[in-house]
Amino acid sequence: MLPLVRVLATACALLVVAAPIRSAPPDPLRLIPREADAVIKIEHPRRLIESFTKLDAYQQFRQLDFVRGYLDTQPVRNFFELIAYYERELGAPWPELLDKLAGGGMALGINYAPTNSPKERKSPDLKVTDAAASYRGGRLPALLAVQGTDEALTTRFVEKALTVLDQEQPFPESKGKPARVQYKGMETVRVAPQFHFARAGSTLLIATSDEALRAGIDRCGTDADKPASMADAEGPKRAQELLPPDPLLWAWVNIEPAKKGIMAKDLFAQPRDNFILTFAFAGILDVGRRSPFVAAGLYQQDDGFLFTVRTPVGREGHGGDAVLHLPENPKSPGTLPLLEPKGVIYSHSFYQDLGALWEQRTKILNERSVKDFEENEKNVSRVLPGTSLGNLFKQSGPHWRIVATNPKGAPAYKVEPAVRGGAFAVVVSMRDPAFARSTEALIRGGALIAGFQVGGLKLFEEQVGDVKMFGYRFNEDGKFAIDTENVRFNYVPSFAAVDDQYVFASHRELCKELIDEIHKQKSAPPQSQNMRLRLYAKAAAASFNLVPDQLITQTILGQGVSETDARKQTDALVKYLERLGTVTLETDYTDKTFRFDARWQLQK
Amino acid sequence: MATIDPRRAWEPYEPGDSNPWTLQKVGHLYRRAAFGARWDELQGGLALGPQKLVDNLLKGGEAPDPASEERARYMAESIRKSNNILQLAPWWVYRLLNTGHPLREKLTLFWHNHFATSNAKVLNAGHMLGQYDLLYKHALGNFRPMLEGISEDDPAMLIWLDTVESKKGKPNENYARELMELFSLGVGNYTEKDIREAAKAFTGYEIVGRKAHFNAAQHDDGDKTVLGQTGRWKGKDIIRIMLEQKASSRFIARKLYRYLINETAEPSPELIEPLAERFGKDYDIAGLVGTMLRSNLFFSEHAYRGRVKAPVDFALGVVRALEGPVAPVVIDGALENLGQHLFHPPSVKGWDGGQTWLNGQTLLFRQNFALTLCQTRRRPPGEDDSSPLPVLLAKRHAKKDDRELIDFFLALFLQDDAADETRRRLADYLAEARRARYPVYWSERRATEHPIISACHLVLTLPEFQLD
Repeated sequence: MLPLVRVLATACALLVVAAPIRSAPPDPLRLIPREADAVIKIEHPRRLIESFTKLDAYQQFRQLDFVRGYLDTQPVRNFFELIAYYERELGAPWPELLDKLAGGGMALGINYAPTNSPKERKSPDLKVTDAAASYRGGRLPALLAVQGTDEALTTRFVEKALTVLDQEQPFPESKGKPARVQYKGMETVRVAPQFHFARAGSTLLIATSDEALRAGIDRCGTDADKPASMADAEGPKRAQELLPPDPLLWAWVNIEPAKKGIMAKDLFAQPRDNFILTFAFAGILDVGRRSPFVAAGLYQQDDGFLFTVRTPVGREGHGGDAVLHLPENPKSPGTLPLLEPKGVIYSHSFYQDLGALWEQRTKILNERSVKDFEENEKNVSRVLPGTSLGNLFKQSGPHWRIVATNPKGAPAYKVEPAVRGGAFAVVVSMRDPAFARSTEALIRGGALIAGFQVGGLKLFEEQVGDVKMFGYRFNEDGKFAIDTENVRFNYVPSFAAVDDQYVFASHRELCKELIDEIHKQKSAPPQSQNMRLRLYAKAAAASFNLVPDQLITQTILGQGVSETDARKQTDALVKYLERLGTVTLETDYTDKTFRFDARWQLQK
Repeated sequence: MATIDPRRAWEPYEPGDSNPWTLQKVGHLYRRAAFGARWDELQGGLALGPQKLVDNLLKGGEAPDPASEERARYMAESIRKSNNILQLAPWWVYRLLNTGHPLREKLTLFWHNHFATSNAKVLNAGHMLGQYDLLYKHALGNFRPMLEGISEDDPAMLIWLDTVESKKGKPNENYARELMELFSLGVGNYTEKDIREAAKAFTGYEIVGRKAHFNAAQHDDGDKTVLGQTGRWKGKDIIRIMLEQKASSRFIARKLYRYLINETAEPSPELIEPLAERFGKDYDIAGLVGTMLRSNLFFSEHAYRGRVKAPVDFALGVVRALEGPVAPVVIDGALENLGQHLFHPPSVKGWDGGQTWLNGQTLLFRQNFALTLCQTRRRPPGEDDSSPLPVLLAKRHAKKDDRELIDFFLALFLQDDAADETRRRLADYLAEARRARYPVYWSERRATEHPIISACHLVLTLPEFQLD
């Protein structure tokens, strides 16, 4: 086990209901130099750890055979032996020790983008001092300040840690003899080239370089002229203001240094060279281009966890290409509601305006991309009967929804595919009903041609309420040389125009279900988010039953167990996954802010 | 090599007072004709004698787990259906660990290196498994159907050497060239014209679905002259012409000699000739391999530890001797680091082998992997806690003290091929380790296990253990 891991673990392994505190412990941010590019702060380390360890899902996870196997490996056993040692020697279980050793919080400062000269830095938040230059030396300098509440305990902890490090020297775990050096009357210890630590009262400083450690010590005293720290820096304060209150962990990242890289310049250019990046991420990249920093926070909620990323710039002042992913009118819906048919594994709803892309291409794309785009449009349009790709783009709406589910109903064919595949659908909104007519003509024409290659396609039509659905079945007697595994017999491509939505579905049953759901959603309130995506653990777990052989094979090969054990483990894993609830990702813009949320909602 | 008498060299070895059947010879046979041995196999081999042990290895036996063969088939089908290329190499490791016929697997690995085909280009797990099946089927059978199968019916090879691109009027010469240079005749036994002509015979071979397919419309049906024979040859005819050349049997016999006997000293033509003569009559691989394994030469100093252990032999040898289940994925990961990623030879020439297996980096990887294996823990049935594999091994074989432990590890892994100085230093290490003051947080159990793990690890990192 690495000494760094050991000491960090030890540091983490120790706080609770601290005895009545006369005054709040000092903020560990006071020791992080102002020159740091990023700060991560854990206000209550014990609360953070226990928010996970007290989950039923965590306890159940530990009981899975492969996890138990991992916990029984030598390095992990060694780690737990070390924790047990500290508990014995310091006289309290690890949560209580954590409360006392880190009850004042932990702050990590990082310089992720070393620069040659401090003068290059222009962020108004950062006043560069000469000390900054040395702090920036080395590889990814980082300084962790762990604020304890019990100086005597911290002192004993450090003594014990040093004893362990000394005694480990003859053994393979050792990284060498700890070197003790005095700095400003304080003992600093170099354990490995990138692991240094020191104790200052009830504070433990851990750094990846000697310079970073000294930068922390420089800020320990009570001198009025001590160097500036992150405790009263503007950036982290603004980050906290952007974030909801009471995080388990929060972070501030100054992204100005990152924008100076050559790759970043291309990434944030408007218009940029890379068409795919513009097409897929124009909105988010636009936010990155304009924002000086990013704030992030992790929260425990009643039903799970929220991780959020926020920036102090939003819709106002957005770049030209953001129209691809944002409605021009802020009051227009960003997305339509997620589609949630039975057995849904993945549902995605997003704003992607192809009409704007086509009509505003000269503003959004650079000259070369415009030329390529127009040429491709011309080539594709040649094979489109009675329309053009540009027209289709203009007729299509900006709201897209994608959904994937487990297979629907009974197998649609007598021929059994080698691997059973799931069902999926794409639903796109229409600005102009002509989109439906053009699309149907395209599908029917395409099916005529494809039929010769795939051994024949049989058209079917079905009335579903007031909607006419149509689609194709593969000919079960037909030959299709490429499809040796009969994968095509998983699917019955089906299509329907439902109000202002057009459905492309892989299965007839799914298409019917979506027609019904789209009707029902008519009265649903508009959503402000421009992207929402949800993953459903229960259905995802069920989908593993479609490919049990692969999971069992992986378990046998990955763990060297018998087939019987592999089957048991696979069953247990599937049952475990079923209980993990949903994960939802969404992005949303207000006039002045942008947020990305990832929410894990556990099944109750 | 001039001192070796070819007649005596290939006569079966008969133990005698001056050249007894020893644990070293049993270990040597298990290293070359299998993937190392467990302690009970070493002892059993000692009791059987050389010829019966070779008989057994040639014949193969029951797999330790009778269900493993069926399980391997089940997994192969799953890998094939999903084209899960990440599971390919671990699957083969699974077979190597569980086989009842290690010599056949060893020869399959030899042919994999001979007809070196990489999934890096084929990109189809099913085709690679198909090639494995073909090689395994004929590994100890007959070279002729194996070469015919590889040339005409193996989708992996058809892709690997571009035969699928070879059409009438536009023949691709890759396969014809490698067939002559690497698969049958060897350099110097054909001309560029022979390659060009033979390439025409290998036109029209395609893949339909999972199988190779001959498309007569794309085949050049005209006359071709190859090695002096003229006719409207197809692939199989070219194979016949190749195998009619004495160079083919010499080439294969020499290559197997390097694999089974000695990879550093080039054998004289006189030494190879009796083998090639016999092999060339029917291309019976088992006959050729059997002659080599039974021979005086095989059990002589000339062959003993005359090869550098390939990564597969190193890894499997440790795992088998430790008698512990180790996950195939773990071993596969190590093999990749050590330079022998199964189903992914570096080129059509295969792995260079020999001293190229060892360099500063791979030696470090060998040490680290040996430590990983020595620290691998298993919980025996009925026990509450797990123990490291060397500790379980020592317990299973009732090694009571350090001296017994060192003797056991040196006999098991090295068949006592260790200098007295090495033995003494190991004993000193263990004595010191018993006296050592362990870090205060170590449990008593860990302090007891540590010297055993370390002693085992030290043996596995000895230079002698890197030799085959």
